[in-house]
Amino acid sequence: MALVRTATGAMPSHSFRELAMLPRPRLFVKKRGTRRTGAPWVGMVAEGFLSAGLLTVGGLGLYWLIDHVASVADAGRWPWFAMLIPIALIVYGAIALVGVLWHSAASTERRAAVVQMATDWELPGADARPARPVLPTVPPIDAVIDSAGVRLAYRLPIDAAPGWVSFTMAAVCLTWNTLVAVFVLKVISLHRDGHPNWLLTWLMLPFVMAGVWTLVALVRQVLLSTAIGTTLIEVSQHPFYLGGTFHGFVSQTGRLRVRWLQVQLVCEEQAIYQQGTDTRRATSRVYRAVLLSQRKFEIEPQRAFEASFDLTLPDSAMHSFASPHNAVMWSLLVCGRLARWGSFERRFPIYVYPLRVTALPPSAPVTLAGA
Amino acid sequence: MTTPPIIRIVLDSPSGHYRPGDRLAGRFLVEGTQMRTVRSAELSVLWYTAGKGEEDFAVHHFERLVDDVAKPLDLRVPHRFSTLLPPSPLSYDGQIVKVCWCVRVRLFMPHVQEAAAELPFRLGSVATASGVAADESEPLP
Repeated sequence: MALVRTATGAMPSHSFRELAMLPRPRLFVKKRGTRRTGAPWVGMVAEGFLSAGLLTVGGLGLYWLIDHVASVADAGRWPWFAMLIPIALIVYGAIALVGVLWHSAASTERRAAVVQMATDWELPGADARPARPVLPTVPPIDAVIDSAGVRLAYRLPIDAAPGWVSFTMAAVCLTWNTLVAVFVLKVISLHRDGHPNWLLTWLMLPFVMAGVWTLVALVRQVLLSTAIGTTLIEVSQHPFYLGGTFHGFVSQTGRLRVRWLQVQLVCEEQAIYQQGTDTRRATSRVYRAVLLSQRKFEIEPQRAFEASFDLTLPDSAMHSFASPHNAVMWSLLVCGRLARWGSFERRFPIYVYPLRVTALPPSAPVTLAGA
Repeated sequence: MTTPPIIRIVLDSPSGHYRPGDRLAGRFLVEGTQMRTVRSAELSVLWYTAGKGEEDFAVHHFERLVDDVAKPLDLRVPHRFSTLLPPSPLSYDGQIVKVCWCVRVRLFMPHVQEAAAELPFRLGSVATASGVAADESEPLP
């Protein structure tokens, strides 16, 4: 059964009553996420006028500069450099105008099909056939299998997110404390000169405390990263496929008293969406299986914790999926609680294919007929 | 006022369930006794995402039929389509991410801006996802 949906009908003519009932054009419209209260064609027309305006201004500017060079005997070099400005306007305006016209003339599906066809074109010199099977919307596994393991076939790379947290914390700490230090030095010099500014001194106090807090948080983060030691995960095969059983190996170094430690197989959905003018990211965990669980043991620097485990992927689960705003991500999680350092979690992304690699049907490119 | 046309899409497989690599075939037509003037018709086999995130979509198969003086476009006659389905993405009904496959027909007419109809189908047999409690992992002391 077909669902019929009709877009806004553009009538050939309106009666006076119909015209009187039309909503008044609004100067200000409310943006609700990606939806707007105004008509979309108004924005498109405005964008077209803006692009055409840029094109016209650029054309006039270029004409004036060429005329100036032609008419003045010793015009110098500046008109040639200044031509970059109108040329930039012309290029930008022309691209934007073509974009608007293409957007208004072709349907969403037709535009997507043409873009897809263009991305499927083989560039001269580029290897047309990748070394490994490539599936639409399934992330390539090259980043995961470039490191060979010692016990098993592949050593998984750790998720870089905690490293970025440390880097961001360091950047914030450095910037904040540098700015605060400038003011603190000024306050100290005033005190030294015998002209203390007590209002400024007391106002500086919360800023100094915030700086100390960022320093403490950074030191704790660095200690946590270094003291826990290295976590390694190796797997027998990659990519994984649904319904398959694989072997894994985990190693944890450091000087630690572990209250509990687990290796988990998790699947999370991730959605990126607009809320007002903010871009937000939502995550939902949809699958978790504990592959290994140990309680109350110690790790010595000379004797790392090592254990093997098996993992079986459910055959009716979703494969790894990545599109610009949505994703389904599988990963192996090493998490636990330590006596001095509290909870910790380290993530190793894995890629799950919909079916065994050798049994993949050919990945057909997008087909266009009469487009 | 011009009424929107009723577009009918029919798949050869009545269940609407397909496996990766299967051939999806069917036909579409516009119901009615009188021939409508249609400038062009577009048929797409595509997937799109639904749920909390912004919509992503990709077209797997696309056909465009254009009305021509030599060959007028009569959509009362069923138009057949056929394509090999890709290995991914599979249809998925998750918590905040959903992947939906459909056959979509869009008609462009002189007096009604456009009319569209779509027929969903499933690719693969991925089960509906359920959430996991946040504190389920920590073992009891």
